[in-house]
Amino acid sequence: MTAAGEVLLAADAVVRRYGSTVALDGVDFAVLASEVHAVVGENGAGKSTLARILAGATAPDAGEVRRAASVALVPQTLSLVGALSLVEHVALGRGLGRFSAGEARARLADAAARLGVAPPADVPTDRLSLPEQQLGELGLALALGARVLIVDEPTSSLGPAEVERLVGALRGIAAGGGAVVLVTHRVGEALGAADRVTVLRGGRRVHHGRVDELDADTLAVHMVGEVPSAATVTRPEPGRERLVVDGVDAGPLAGIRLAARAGEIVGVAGVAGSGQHFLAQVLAGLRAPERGTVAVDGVPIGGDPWAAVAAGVAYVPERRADGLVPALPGTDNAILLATLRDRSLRRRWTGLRDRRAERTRARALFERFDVRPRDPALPAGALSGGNQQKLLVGRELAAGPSVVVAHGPTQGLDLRAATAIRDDLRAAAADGAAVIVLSTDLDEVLTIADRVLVLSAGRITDTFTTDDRPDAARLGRAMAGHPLAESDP
Amino acid sequence: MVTEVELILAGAVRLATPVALAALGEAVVERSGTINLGIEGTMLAGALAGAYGASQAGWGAGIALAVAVGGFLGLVTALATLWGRANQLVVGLSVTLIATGAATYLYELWRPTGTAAPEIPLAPTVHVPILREIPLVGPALFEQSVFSYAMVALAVGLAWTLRRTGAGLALRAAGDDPARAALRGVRVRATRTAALALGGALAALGGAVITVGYLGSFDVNVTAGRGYVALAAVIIGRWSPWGALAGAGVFALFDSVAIQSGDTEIVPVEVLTALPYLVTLAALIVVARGGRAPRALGRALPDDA
Repeated sequence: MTAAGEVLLAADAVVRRYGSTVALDGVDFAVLASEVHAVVGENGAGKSTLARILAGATAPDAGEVRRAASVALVPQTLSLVGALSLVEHVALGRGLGRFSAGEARARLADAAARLGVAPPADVPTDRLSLPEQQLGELGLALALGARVLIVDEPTSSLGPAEVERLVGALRGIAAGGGAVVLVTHRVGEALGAADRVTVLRGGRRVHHGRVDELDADTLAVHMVGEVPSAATVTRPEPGRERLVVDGVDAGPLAGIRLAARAGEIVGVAGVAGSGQHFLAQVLAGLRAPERGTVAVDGVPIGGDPWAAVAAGVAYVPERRADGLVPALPGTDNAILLATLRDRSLRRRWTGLRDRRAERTRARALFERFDVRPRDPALPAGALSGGNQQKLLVGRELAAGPSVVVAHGPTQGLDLRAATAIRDDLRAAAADGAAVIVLSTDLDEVLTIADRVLVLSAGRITDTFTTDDRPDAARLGRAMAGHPLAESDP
Repeated sequence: MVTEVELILAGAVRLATPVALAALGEAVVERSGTINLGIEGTMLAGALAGAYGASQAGWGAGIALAVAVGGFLGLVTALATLWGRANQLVVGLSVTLIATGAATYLYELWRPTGTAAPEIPLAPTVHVPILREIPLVGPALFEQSVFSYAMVALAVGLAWTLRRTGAGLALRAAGDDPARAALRGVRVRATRTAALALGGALAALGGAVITVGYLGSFDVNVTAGRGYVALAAVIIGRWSPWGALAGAGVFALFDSVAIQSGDTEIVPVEVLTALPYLVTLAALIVVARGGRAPRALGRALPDDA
């Protein structure tokens, strides 16, 4: 074992260009033995490019990378092959000949001891829950001999208890003499898990130093440059009940009862596997409840998406690909449902599509919701993630919905885009919609909702207003009211 | 009665062998993520190559030639689909069509219509003393062509390789999630290419077993769709080597029944001939609902693999 403080992995003035854009512009970086080093920045700041260059997956155009130990990259989308178990993954990394399952298992057990948690090693990895896969990937990298782990946005879909476990595992790697490069856009996570931090903005290193000399606001300012001011929307007092869910059973959901009033934003927090996905689908009319009713302004919509659309339910699905057609131009995506309902988008006599009216409508939507570039002719898939989300949210809100169901609406977005989406949702509430925001990210829910319901294992286990937020221990108990082994459907 | 059952069972093992060999190869190919519709044509090419080689230099030479031709056709398929990124199904059907046409043409060159059929030496049959006297299953298990025993040995070997070696893991990874397999260091294209070469060689071996193992003659309808039956056997067997054997067995059992009862007049002979195919189809419909196919099966190779 080498002494703490030894440089295990470093980059000197690395530059990387993609076409005419400069992703990294002369960035220096070094990670020492026995430390967790956070690389933070907004989307597009160059974090993932740096991670790939450090791991050797991408070559820099200029500059140099020095590796004093073996390095493994744990990508955001993970790299486990679903059909193989963790033991088999270890064997896969060790050549084509006959393998010893016993030896692979021993290596995993050794890695698990360092992580402080042992995910099941002998079942196909697609049967593991997402947190287990994440931990499994860390254990696998250690078992294959890596001393430096580069972990890209590992917590994007974990609940608070699981994040804590993961951070514990990362600290365990550092304590064992290894090093962790934690790539994240979450200020709190960087501050909570790391010893040192490197802040990237626009492909440059704008700050680096010890975490204990920083606070969350300072770090956020480093990331963003200036803090974008949240638009202040004066919202009326909540009005009549627009959405009423009564005694709904569906999949894991049992006896869900909730109501949302006009002008109110209701958050639903829960870890992956808590049943959020089912709840969102039930609210959007995509899944018929096995029992109970869902009504919008008194009109039942149980399991009938058309009834939901007719009742004015706007739905922002969790996966963008479920809401946008990436191959179609922005125009078509902007008018997807409207074209069926809105006669002004069709020619008067023939009822055929009126392309000019569609383009006018799309341009107005791009303008109003600040979708960039302002070119509705581009395929939606060519837009950045943040702009795709703005387009999707914009389309859903454009018609003045009665109820908005938004599932993880700001997941994976940078601060600017997330702020814009939150402002849009607040504006919709101010216009009289009842807004439901479901998320596995507690922060996302707390920053936008007036009132929060905690969903755990299909039941609402706690409810509170954001002004009267309970302590972390109570939240943790409510959210993590079920074991690690359960997985999302 | 006993002898009839013995005949049917022994016949079933004999008829299963070519299909099972092709199905074992195809199981490997599909585990690696590719569907090879060319195995029907490859079997026919193997049947002809085997017959030709055997007539020139003995049955061993015939088998060697067939295996070489099949491996070559597998490599051609790999070249087109994996390196040239052509559609798997189109390439597979093309190989079948070209191989069928070529076999017909080459056979005509070799033995023009009207000339005597070639003399094809048969591969030896193994006779296990005493054990082959066991009632019912004796002849089926202990008095078979060398290829039937080779088939079982091959199934054992493949099942072990898939589960217990890094090569088997790489194969399964390539067929399940090529992009992530590539991230984990698997050379996906090379793996799939090797699988297609092996699959082609085994399909051709299956074809040669028909002519050199049992028939001692060749005609252009000799495979009679058995390549497609092998494809079905892989699905019925849920992509496992032993399952492929079982799938081939289902077909062969009814094929054998049809042949043994060929001279009864209760059921029209056309119905009997169709019987094994109908049963295979029925088994496919029943079994295909469950089971887990390799997840990337039939999909084009991703750009980053």
